[in-house]
Amino acid sequence: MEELLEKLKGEIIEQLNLEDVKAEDIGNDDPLFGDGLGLDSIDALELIVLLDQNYGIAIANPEEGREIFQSVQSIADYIEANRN
Amino acid sequence: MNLTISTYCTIYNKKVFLNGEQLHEDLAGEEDFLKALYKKLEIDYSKFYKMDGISRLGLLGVELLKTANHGLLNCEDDEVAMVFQSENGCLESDVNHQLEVNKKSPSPAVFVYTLSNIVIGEISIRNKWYGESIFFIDNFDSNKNLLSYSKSLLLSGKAKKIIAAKIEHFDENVFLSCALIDEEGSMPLTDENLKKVLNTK
Amino acid sequence: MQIAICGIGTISAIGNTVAESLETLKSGKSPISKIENIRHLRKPYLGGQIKLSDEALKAELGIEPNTVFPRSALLSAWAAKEAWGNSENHDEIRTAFISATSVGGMELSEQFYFDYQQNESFDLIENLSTHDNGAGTDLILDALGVNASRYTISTACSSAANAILLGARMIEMGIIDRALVGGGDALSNFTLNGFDSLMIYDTEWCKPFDDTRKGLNLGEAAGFLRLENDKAMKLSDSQPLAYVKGWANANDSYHQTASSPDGKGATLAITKAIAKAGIDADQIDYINAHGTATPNNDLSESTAFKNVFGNQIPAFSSTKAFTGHTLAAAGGIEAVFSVLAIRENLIFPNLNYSNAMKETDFAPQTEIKSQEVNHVLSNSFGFGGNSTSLVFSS
Repeated sequence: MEELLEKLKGEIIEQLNLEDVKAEDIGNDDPLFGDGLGLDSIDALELIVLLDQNYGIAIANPEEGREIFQSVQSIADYIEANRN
Repeated sequence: MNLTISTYCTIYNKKVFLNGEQLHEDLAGEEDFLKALYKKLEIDYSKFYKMDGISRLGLLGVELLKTANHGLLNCEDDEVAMVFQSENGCLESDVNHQLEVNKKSPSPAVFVYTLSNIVIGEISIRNKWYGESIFFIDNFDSNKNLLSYSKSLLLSGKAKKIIAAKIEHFDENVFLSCALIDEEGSMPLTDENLKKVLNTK
Repeated sequence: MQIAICGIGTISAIGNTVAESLETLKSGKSPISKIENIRHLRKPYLGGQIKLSDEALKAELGIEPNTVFPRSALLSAWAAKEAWGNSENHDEIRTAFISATSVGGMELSEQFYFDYQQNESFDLIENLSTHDNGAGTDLILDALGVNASRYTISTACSSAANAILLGARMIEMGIIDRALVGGGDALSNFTLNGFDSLMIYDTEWCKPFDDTRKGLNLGEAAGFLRLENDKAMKLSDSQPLAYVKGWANANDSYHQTASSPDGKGATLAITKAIAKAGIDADQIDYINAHGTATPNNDLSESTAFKNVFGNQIPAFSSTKAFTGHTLAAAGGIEAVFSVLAIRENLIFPNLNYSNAMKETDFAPQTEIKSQEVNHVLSNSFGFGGNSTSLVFSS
């Protein structure tokens, strides 16, 4: 799990062009949207692309993303639960 | 009404000119010039990194105008209008989106920049400006759009300040010239002056 | 100074002419169906497609079959020709042609690109010559034989509305006497894939203002108006169909693609356009809404309605369930529909609506309705926050 969390942080920074952010700046449970990293709706869609391309997990309804993308931890949990 | 060009700025060939005077010459050797300029101007706006080239270029041009003209900072939120023109528009993002289409999931973050007027949207968001804007596609040499549209906005009281710009960001062709048009300056708004300010490559 | 609309022209999935379009609007039947005859589609999409092929359009317009002529520009030439009608070039009528497009030559460029990628074929290399949005404007004017100063606008889905705004303003300021204004966009893989990547492409018929709406269907279209001042009307013996009374543009200044929750840009545009028209908000008889059927647009636009009209929301509908969202053309065809609403005293229905949005307490007009229509508000909001409202009057 620890490894997945670190890998995810790196992937998120790269996919979302968060140039000023380092992996160690992101707490596992920090909120990604709103006050946290300040991500927006397009970032949420990019995260859906990331899960699809890197983990083979397809999310059909963007509304589902709200729950899944709360934090790096919640994304990792979702990946663990849905990876075959 | 006495319309003038009160401030102007040009960015090309890794050079920056503000009111005709060259600035930030030390950045000429930077590989990613716009990023270096962003850092040099000490703008704290991390969304910059998510933007495509044309949006980065436009945003920096307006930041430079602001450093020389504080009047821009003290406008009501719908008093600044933007009139932009380009030959290639968002061609660079068009190409990038086309490359994405081959992938399993095309990137939405690339697609959102495949409209020429997004640069104006980004500048509006950054500055909380709600004023009128338009984006023309035309040849570089032509100034008729910028001149007549800017005049009409100011004369009809639809705006107090106009940012008129020519912008290109495709491959090697990176060019921005922009002029702040209002009643505050000393250079009269004429065809000839606009040409001098906007058409110098 | 009155700015008269003396000619209208449109082509879209609902008809190749103004008359055909009116019949479909009255029928209440949407022609939106599975998109066909576009190469390299990634998946099946529903859309508003015009059945005429490029070859057929060229033949009717008298364009050589081998001419490289993007479909967006062919559609624009078609609609502009109908709006131009029997008008003639005249030395004393200063005329502008203001054309809007966002797809431009993309649909030809991508065909070259697919061929090149698959077998390194350069057969379609000439297609690239019309990629830039401005190239089409010259082609259209040449095809029509109209002498005019030319302008090309590209501000996403408000493009054609901005062409109308610019034409009206130039006439008001005495810069020109007559303007042929509007826009056209064809369907392309580029836009279909793009909106799909934003996860706002409905796999079923789009449902504007419905609580369960999932997104848009795209469509292809062109819509043009011929605007004239008194002098042009006198010299060319034109008759007014309606007038452009109000116009305004504002920026929503919120997000590249999403509209703001408080509908600020839309509210500014609507308020200023009504003020420019010199009427009160309660005089608006019908709103032809932007109404793309994306969750975000329809909520933001509804909020703007509340901001401007309070509890007295005029009859409103989105005609995009008929035509699909036709991007840069939308403001053009919907201007034509607004003129038809005034001429025919009709309010067109908002199809596919059945569930009230939970955030609002008002519903669109779902059945065609006969009533006196004197003032129509037409909204066009584009990505990049570009928000335009127009007021058309009898």
